[in-house]
Amino acid sequence: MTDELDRDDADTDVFETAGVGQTKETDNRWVELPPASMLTVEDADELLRWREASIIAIVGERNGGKTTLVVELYERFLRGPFAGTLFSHSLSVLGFERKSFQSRAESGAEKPDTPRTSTQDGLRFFHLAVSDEHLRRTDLLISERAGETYREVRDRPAGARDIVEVCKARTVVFILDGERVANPRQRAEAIASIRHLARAFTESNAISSHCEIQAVTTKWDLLRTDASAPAQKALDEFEKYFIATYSSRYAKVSVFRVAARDPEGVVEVGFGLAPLLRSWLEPVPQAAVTALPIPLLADEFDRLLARRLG
Amino acid sequence: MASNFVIMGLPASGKTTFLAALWHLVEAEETTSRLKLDKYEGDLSYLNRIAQAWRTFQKVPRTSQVGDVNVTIHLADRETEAKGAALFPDLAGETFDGQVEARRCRPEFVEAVANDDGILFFITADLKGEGMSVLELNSLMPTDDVGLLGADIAENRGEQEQAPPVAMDEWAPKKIPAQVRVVQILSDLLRPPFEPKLRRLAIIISAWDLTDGSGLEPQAWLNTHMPLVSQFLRSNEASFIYRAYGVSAQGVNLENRAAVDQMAEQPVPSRRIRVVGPKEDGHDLTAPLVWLMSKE
Repeated sequence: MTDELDRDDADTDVFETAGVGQTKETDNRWVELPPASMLTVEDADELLRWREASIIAIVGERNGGKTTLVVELYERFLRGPFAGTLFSHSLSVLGFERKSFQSRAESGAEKPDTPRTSTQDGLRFFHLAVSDEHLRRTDLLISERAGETYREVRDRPAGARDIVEVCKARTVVFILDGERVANPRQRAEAIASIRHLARAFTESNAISSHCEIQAVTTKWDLLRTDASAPAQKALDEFEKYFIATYSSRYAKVSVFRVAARDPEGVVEVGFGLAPLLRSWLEPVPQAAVTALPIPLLADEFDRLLARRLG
Repeated sequence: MASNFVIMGLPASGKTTFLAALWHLVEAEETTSRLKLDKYEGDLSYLNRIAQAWRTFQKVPRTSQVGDVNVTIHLADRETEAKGAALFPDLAGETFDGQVEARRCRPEFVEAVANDDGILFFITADLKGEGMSVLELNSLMPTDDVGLLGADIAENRGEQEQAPPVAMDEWAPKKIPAQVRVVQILSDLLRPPFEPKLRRLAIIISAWDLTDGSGLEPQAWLNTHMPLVSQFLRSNEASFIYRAYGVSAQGVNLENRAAVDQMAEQPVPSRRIRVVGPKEDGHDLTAPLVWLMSKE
């Protein structure tokens, strides 16, 4: 039987008259498709013209874990529903993929990493749409910008109002680098960085009062042991200061601790990301409507209308 | 009944094998199928060649080897007696890879999708374990052994010598995992140049015999092994009505000669086919087509 099969293999070429292997390469007619990389400001504007989306501004100096946090959110959905939501859509799938690759086994890396965001890239957005259990969809535009730009704002607060993602945000996320908090020599400076950024954006009125602001401590895996007690105490105090300082100023102030990706694999991947994502999906606090002063109605038609409206 | 079906799927996802087995099934009439062949006419050379390969247990040549092929099969419904032509623009899987990587597609595809009565989207159950993270891989490694081995190696090399740096791959679009590709291809249908409409989509999980022993139904398989695709379809019910089918069109692993010999003794070749759906478990490869044409 095996011999018969061998003979068949040798004798039969089902495509011997059809030019097997000659792939049709002469047809050059193509239709271009929209890009699927990260969104530019123009792309984000275009999306906002036809669909409501919340802008989440991720603010912090370099190496704080801003990109890793967002990329790990995407990675959670590759493994199943996350934070009680379903992945619904993304216009930036290739952007997520590019930033995720160094955390994948296929990259050949021994430890997960995230490519650095260059200042030259300017402002970009990840797009992520998720649906709740009732299939109500929420679109998020999550900002991606090099930390050096935020450092400049810290040094020159006058530039804060040029940071468009913060001015238009539903939520401003101030990133506190947990690795630097864990290091006694860098702790005070790490906390000063987020304190200065929050102050610079607030005092320049760059953030809407209807906005939610958050202090998110990254790399929590480096802070959770007993040996980190002094760092935890400093963090507790900072979080109390943050809430006390800004609660009267903004619609909501909250603090989170996350470990998006513990390189040692001790803390569960995506620790703390679920409540953070859910907070971004809550209804945006409504702006209070202030009654505008009505000018003196001198015209007869205006007065007639005023009488009819009672 | 005049039905246009669009066949979509990544390379080697079983599209052409499905067509080959379908052509044999409806032409041979060895087993009962809801749809039967109505007319034996037109240029059948492509269908006959791929079905010949299927019948003789050869690998059915991939569409990329002969270029994109449009196939028309004249079918009749045994129950309703409705007749019509089913058009299958059988595009090479590489075309869909190009759609994800180069962000372009053929104008014929845009046209076909605008006029389709249903999409057959092929996903192979023969997964390659893509998308695993470094941390997930490390967690699978026996850490104690690695530590001991590492210590031995370090001792042999001497303390001064460092381990050679590991070569890291650069990202390229071809690195995108299959489930992400599938979601990107389906997402593209929601935006221009494609026409937004409610589409019927039969997810055909090919090489279904590889899932034997898992105990998973096709929908559960999709939830487990392609969770991003599953979430995307569930949350886009305004754009897609879908059903998942497990299909083993080849019926046997062609690399396994003993299994092929045994299967070749089967007097009714159509019984090689297996289709598992929400309401089906049999040999009727036309079941997904019947559902695509139905109002359910």
